[in-house]
Amino acid sequence: MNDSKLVNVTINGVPLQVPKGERIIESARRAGIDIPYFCYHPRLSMENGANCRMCLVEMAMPRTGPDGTVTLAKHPKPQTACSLPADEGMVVETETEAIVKARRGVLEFLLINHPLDCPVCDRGGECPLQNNTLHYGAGASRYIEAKRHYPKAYPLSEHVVLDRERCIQCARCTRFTQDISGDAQLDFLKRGADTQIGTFNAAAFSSLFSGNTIEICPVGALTSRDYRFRARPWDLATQKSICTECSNGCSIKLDHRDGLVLRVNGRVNEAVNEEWTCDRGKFGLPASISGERLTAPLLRDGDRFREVTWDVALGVVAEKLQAAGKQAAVLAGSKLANEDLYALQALCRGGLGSVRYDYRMGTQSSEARDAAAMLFGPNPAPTGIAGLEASPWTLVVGSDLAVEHPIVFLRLRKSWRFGKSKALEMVSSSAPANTHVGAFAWSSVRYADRGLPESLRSACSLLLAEMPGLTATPEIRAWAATGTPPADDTASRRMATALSTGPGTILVGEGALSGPDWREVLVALGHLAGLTGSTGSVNRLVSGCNDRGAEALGFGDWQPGTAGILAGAASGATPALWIAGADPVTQYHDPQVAIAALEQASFVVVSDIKLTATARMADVVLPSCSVAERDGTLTNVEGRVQRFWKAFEPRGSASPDWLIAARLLQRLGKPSVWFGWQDVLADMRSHVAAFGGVSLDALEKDGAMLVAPQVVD
Amino acid sequence: MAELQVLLQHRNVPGIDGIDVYESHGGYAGLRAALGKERQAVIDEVKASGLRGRGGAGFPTWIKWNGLPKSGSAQHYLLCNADEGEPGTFKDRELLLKLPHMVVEGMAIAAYATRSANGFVYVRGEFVESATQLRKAIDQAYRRGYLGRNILGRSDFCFDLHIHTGAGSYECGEETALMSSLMGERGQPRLKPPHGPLPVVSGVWGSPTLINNVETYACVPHILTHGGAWYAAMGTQRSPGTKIFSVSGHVARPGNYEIELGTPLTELIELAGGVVGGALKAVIPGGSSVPILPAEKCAGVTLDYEGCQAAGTMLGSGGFMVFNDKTDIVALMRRTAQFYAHESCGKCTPCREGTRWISRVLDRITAGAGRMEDIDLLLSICDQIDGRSYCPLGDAASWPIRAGIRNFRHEFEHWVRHGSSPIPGFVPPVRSHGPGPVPGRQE
Amino acid sequence: MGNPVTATRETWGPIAQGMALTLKHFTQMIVARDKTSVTVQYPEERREQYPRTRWRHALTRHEDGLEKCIGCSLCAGACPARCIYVEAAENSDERRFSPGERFAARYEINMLRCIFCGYCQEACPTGAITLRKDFELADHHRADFLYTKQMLLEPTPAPGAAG
Repeated sequence: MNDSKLVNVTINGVPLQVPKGERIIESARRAGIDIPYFCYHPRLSMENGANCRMCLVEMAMPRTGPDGTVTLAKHPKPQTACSLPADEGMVVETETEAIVKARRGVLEFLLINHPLDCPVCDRGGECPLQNNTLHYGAGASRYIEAKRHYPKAYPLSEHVVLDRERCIQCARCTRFTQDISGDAQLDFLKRGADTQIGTFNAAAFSSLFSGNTIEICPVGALTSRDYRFRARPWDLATQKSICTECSNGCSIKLDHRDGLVLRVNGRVNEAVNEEWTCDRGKFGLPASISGERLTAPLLRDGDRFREVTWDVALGVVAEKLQAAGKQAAVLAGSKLANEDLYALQALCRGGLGSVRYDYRMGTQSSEARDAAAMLFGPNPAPTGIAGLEASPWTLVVGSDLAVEHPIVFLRLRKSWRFGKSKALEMVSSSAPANTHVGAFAWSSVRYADRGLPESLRSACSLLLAEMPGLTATPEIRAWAATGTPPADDTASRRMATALSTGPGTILVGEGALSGPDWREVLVALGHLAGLTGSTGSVNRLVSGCNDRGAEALGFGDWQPGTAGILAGAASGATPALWIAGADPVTQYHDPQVAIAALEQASFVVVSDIKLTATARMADVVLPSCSVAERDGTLTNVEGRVQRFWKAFEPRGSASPDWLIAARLLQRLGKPSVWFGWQDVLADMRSHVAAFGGVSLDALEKDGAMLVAPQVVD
Repeated sequence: MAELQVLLQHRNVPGIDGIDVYESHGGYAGLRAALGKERQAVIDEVKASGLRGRGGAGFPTWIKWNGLPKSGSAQHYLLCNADEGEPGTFKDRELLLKLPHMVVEGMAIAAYATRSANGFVYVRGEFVESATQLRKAIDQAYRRGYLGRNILGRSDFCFDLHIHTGAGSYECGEETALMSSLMGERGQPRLKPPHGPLPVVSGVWGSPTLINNVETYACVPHILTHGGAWYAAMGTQRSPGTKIFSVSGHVARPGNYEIELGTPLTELIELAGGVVGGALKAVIPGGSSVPILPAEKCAGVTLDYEGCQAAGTMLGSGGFMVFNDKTDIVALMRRTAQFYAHESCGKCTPCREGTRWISRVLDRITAGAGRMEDIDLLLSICDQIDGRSYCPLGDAASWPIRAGIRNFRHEFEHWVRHGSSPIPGFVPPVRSHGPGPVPGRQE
Repeated sequence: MGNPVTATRETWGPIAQGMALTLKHFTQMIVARDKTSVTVQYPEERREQYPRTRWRHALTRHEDGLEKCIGCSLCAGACPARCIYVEAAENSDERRFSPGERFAARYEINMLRCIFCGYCQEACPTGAITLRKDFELADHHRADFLYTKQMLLEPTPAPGAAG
């Protein structure tokens, strides 16, 4: 749409040079000229936009007459600035008498059927309709007829509540579900003044991204079930943060009041989530950090817990850890910050001389991970999230992307929507018939149980058939020719044509390399990547929030791993175990093993924000801080280290894990020099090469990328 | 003055809807003539005829035809707008019912000239019979080789014609909304210049698309048969040719009348047998969306695009409605307003909210609860819609009301003052149609 | 100040003037007992207050007994002393406190902080919070100055006694 060519336009007499085709509303915004709007949103398509008519401006274009003279021809009707593409010589006026009148007229129309229940509306105080009415509207309405009435608070889904009286039919939410999330669940029903938002056959609005529609609604028509009536905007304080519900690391804003996170909104980060959030983060994060929280250390007293002071608790823990020495072990949770992990590591190695620490709860072995690193390079996600937009094709293997990596999914869809990328998918035949990626995938290939290696081999085989001139060793050709003959169906052939267009991107979900057939999968992936020239853009997507940070810190580099640690706890080989922010009883891939180990363990200390199932089995429980109550950094799936800020004070005497580790180090007679989280970060920067490039400046902005380790032959 | 029948010349010939009779009356000669020419020569012939779009806007037809890409392999689509929804207009219905082959032939010629391989006739949903007649005609044309592959032996000319029936929306007569509806989307308008591309650049499914009215296509065979100059000789210089007017209302013989453009308005009334039931009060010359013309302004008005504009109204689609002096203009405006409130698609604010508001205020006035300031309020609402809506439906909803008040303000004032009609004995009907009660309403 | 005569006049003169005024009022009160008396016998007697006097807050009710407050928090937003705390919740047909969807589940005013500016009353869209003439707000404990919703709310009108 936008050519790089610059054109001259004049807005309110200000001459500007803007890219040809840029929407005038954007040009004006950059020139500091305010044009009011409701329906316009830069990330939504224009196709169903330009309907609120609030951004009307007067426009004139130069016209060359028959005698060669150039005159300015004013368009007879006012035009919507949101959809008006800049063109050479265009002259725009935004504050003429006619425009002021037009805006007042549009606002009067919007308000005649609006209930004006601002005092009880969740949007009141941060409402574009209120703001625009204050700036551009008339003081009174001339409407005396009956207003449009609908039942209030219609539940669209478990999260989203619709008030059709407040709706101004701007089509932002419908366009979001059509353009961005792609599930197209919301649309208009009826017509004329009866036009209203709804779902087909009144089905539940079951999008994975439904919360975003609440955020972009310019009135209080769509509200959040959880946030409903909880606070007014002026009651809230806002802090910048990072979502901890998955590894994508969305930039978010925490709106909190009295030590409670009441809602989560997206924060603009073009490199990661643009401005979107998924429902898991938006509604899940406040739920996961609120509720019954630990406020003081607990010490086991028979089959009950007794509240004790930190002094007592840490004294017990330090004594047990010291006694265990090299045999002491630490299990870290995926939501711990980089600083926590580094401090825990320092405690183990420096304080106790132990290398028994790990963070993994799944079945993927270190061997699989190391082998993948050997094949595809040390950087597990070289393409990154934004990099997907430049990839001509992207193959998703072993992941229900929209569920596991919602923001990566949105980026993949965006890349497809702008015609830049073909999405390819290899999905188990046990997955639902309509997968999220499958809805727009160029090709979606199904494989039977454990059939992923065979499916990949089949793709290689078809690719070789498609491109006879492809450089491939005889071994690869022989490998591709073995096994069952390639599936000769449409989906497979379409995939081969896409793969033959050159290097692309492969996204490998954690599940793909976690099964017993990980070797075969890896070999087949290696061949496919080699044949397509994509070896450097194979991305292994980790699932846990800070798994990428843990990996970069080498947290899972040591034998015997989680399985060994749990076995040690059961056999007595690990006399003291600290489980920090993890809940193996529910998270470990074989919960029975974890439960058995904890039952037999001689000493277990658990630090967490809530009394989890694991904490209930511990000897000492230490209260720690959630992401809202402390500062720190997290590393997301693409290796981006991002900062989060303390929003409010922790409950009771809760303390972040790095500080617990630091205090234990002191008791072990090996005091650290960490007075704040920045000191841990500084230490980490100077001792861990991967974090060498993480500057505080970058953390203030979009985050800093991990430095990929240098491969030394 | 008599009718000058070109399109409707054979409308009463028995069996003219069948291909044999149609051919024996000169049918498909235009297509043969066209195929004897270069494609560009066909467009030039249409240019020479001066034919202007008969759907309402009067845009020169040849410019649209000429705008489609003339090289390249992109698919072109040819659309025929048969969603005749304008109140007072029923010419397309009769053309499709009686002379469906003329439309098919016109479209085939246009397809040849514009290199289109696929055409759609978007027929108004309520025109069940017309669609049946058209389907029959298309089948016959396929069998005779006027449609399909290698038409009349020309290996470079293939054209498939499909029928798509609407689902009952006035808005889908707007060309971009028609395209949305044809593609299976909500029948709402799309961006047009200067915001988006013209249909001839990017229309249905992103392909160059030509869209014309039924009557426009029906004119084409005659132009090709007799030559553009012959056609241009009829009518006025700037509005050449003939035009079908659907005369209705208080006349002795309502019906479709084809006359030369430029014919005086009063002559058309005489053609239809003159005003009955009283003296002439007003005329709406071009369908419900054009401004009403009071009797005193009718004299001297000629029925062509320029003549109507000079009189402060529009030729529109030729829905010629005649009202005698027993007509209550306020009730007429109320019914018109109800229609537009009912048919607004709901996309843009001014039309969605404004049409309903106008309708409600007129409901109140005709219920005897009007206020004097309501009349200026109506004018103000019209100003707030006119020119600010997404598509011309908003304009079409505001023009008649504004003209009604400007020309018959005293009738509005009578309603407000007395709470009853200025026409003795007239009682406005209880609202039977239009925007109904809102579901779930708590009143 | 060098001149003792001047000094004496400047010192004692005003004192004598002041005492004369006091004496005048004293005699007026004792002897005349007229309406111009300055001192009232509080607490037995109370001076009538000006119509726009603003003291203790009250949360008012509709005639049908429903609370006027809808928990919109506009008073808290307008309060320059930040002394009002509101937490809202949703009405249900079974548990209805106010008309409409929303009511104040908690409504607290810290009277130690309140400056009686009346902005809350001005901001209130339903006329729920009003400042009235009850000015005897002294108490013994700091905690007692946290006025809860129950303390602020008008009693429910007795059935039939509305108006």
